[in-house]
Amino acid sequence: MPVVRLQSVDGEVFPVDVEIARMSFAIRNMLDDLGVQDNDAEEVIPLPNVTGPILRKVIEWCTHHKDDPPPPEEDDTREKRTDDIPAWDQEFLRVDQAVLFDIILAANYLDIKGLLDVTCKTVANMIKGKTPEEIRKLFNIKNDFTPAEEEQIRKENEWCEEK
Amino acid sequence: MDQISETVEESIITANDLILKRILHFTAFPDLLTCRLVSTRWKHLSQFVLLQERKCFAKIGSDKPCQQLVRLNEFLQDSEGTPPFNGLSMGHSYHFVDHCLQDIKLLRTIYSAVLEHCPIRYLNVHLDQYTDCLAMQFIKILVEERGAEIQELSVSTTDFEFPFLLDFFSNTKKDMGKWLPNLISLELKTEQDGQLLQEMVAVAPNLQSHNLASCFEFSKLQPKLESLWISSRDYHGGSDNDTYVPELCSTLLNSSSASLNYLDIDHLDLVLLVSKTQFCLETLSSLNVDFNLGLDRYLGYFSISRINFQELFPNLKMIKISTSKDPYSVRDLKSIPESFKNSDSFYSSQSVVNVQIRGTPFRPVSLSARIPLARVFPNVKHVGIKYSSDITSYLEYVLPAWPDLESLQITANEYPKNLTNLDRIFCGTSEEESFHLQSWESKEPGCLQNYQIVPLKRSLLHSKYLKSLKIRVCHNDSCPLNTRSSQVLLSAVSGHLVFSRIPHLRLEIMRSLCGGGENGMCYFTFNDLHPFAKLSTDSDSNYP
Repeated sequence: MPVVRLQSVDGEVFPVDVEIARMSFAIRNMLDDLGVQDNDAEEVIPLPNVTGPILRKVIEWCTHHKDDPPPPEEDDTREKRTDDIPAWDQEFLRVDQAVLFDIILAANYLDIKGLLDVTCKTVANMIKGKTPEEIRKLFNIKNDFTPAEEEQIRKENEWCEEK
Repeated sequence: MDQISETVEESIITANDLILKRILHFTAFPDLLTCRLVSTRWKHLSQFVLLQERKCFAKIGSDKPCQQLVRLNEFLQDSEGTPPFNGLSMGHSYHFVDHCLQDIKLLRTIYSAVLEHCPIRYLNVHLDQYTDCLAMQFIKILVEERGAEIQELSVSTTDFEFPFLLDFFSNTKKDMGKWLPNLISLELKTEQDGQLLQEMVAVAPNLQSHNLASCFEFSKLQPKLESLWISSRDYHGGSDNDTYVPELCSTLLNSSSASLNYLDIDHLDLVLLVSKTQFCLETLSSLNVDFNLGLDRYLGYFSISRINFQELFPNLKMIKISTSKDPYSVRDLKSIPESFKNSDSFYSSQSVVNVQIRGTPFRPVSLSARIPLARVFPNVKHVGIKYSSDITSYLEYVLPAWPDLESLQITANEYPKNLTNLDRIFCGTSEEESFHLQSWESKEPGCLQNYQIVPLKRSLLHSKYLKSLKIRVCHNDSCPLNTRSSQVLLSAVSGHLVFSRIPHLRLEIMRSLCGGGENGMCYFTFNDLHPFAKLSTDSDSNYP
């Protein structure tokens, strides 16, 4: 199996099967841009936005999901579900909040849609049932509404109904 | 007192618009409303998701709806900005006439206010009693004057009978075929017979779905349909599913066997249909299959090749293969008859000349090895590839598979996903040679006019019958101008070495508008391709 070497920002180098590395569209682009062939095992791909421990987690996720079918097309009208996270992923994402957030950043940077979606679903589950103030605390957000603006939004929300 | 410190910055996750939008994409409706209250930025992004991805109704309850409508009007007139509604839900139960508001001037004022503030894509109406009150009149005007906007209509009633509902949603008969021209879903919750449904379906030209029980009633009318969409997966295996769907499909296909032009069908439904039902759709010219890779994995072969196209669809011209959305359950897969599972027949269709691939239904690495698409459809002259995540692999399969290609259409999302190097594919060169040629041409424009290349693999030059090449490039409003300047999607390299050397080739390139597009700052302006192509911008093809 052809291998590429991925280098994290802290210098750690991970040999990874090319097929697994190409699950990241960013790495796929880099490989294509560099003209890396399957037998260029010594080629090192630097990933300046990902630390070693996080890159290890990302590779672990990609390795587990390497045989998944391509992600389906988006259909905005379909019900959005967050209760369909596979058990393995749930266990995989049972990490500190800081690590979870770093994995999201890495998934976004490396353009790995499946990993980004499952981590964003996890965060959506964290938001579930919380008050605006609790959400602000969770993400360090400053409330920039005036009391009148906030009241206006509350009134708008009272008119809203989902089918 | 705000408890968040001024000095602490927002989490790096939610401070990123793309990531926050993705999180909100998965956030439940009540929580999205809560997110509107977090901060101005969260309100803006939550509202975007509500309006674009959800059905968010302004709710008028059934208790004195005319008076609630007046309150909604007052609220909308006092509010600043756009409320998060894209639909209206209105009940109407019995209320005394002296509680009804019937002021026609007020009705026009309310109508104007709602028109100004709310898009009405979705309309839910419950009717239990007819009065002349504002709410009733409002719905009638809305359907009459904003019918073109409505995509989904749900009507429930316990008392009213046909033809009252038709009269209420006026103009159905005189505007046959024009009523609610963009309606794609109709739900009738009524115990009336099928006549009402038949009438309403007949006047809505683009209707795609209505509820299953009503659909079953409709099928008893033996309609002669011209197009039909079947996807029992959308009912998520409800108990009605097993009872209705096979019989429903069979009835509709039999009654429409001499009229059906277009069939859109889920992969598993197609397999079940061809293995359980006897039919022949002589007039069918276009078939869209929501292809599910999981099904082929389960069967262990390319299931499309086990379908006897010549016998079932003898005049089929076009097949569209789209990516299916949901995995099947084990129960679904076990419903496939053993006769189909064990079949070793291989069929091909001589009549199909057009193959359209949408999304990434097959893993690109499997195309050559395990997906004998060109053997099943050997006479293809026209190919479309839309929104694939790996256009390179698909093109590298298509060009040698169908050497007599006459037209090729490519629709690509080129940002933020991978940037395809079409020059390399069209010229049949290596990536390195392609970059070299691009660099050479950009330094000395026109230098390749007399240059000869020896393609390493099948190039567009080998498609000597190609008459039309259409390329549509979509990207979102973030243009990769600054970040991907070393890469080129398509350049004058292909112009000089390929396009100018294929006789009669007509090349059209469309790109979606982006922030810098009108000022010539878009990455996809293709200025150097002016001599070879008709270039245009397309405001409707933004990143989906």
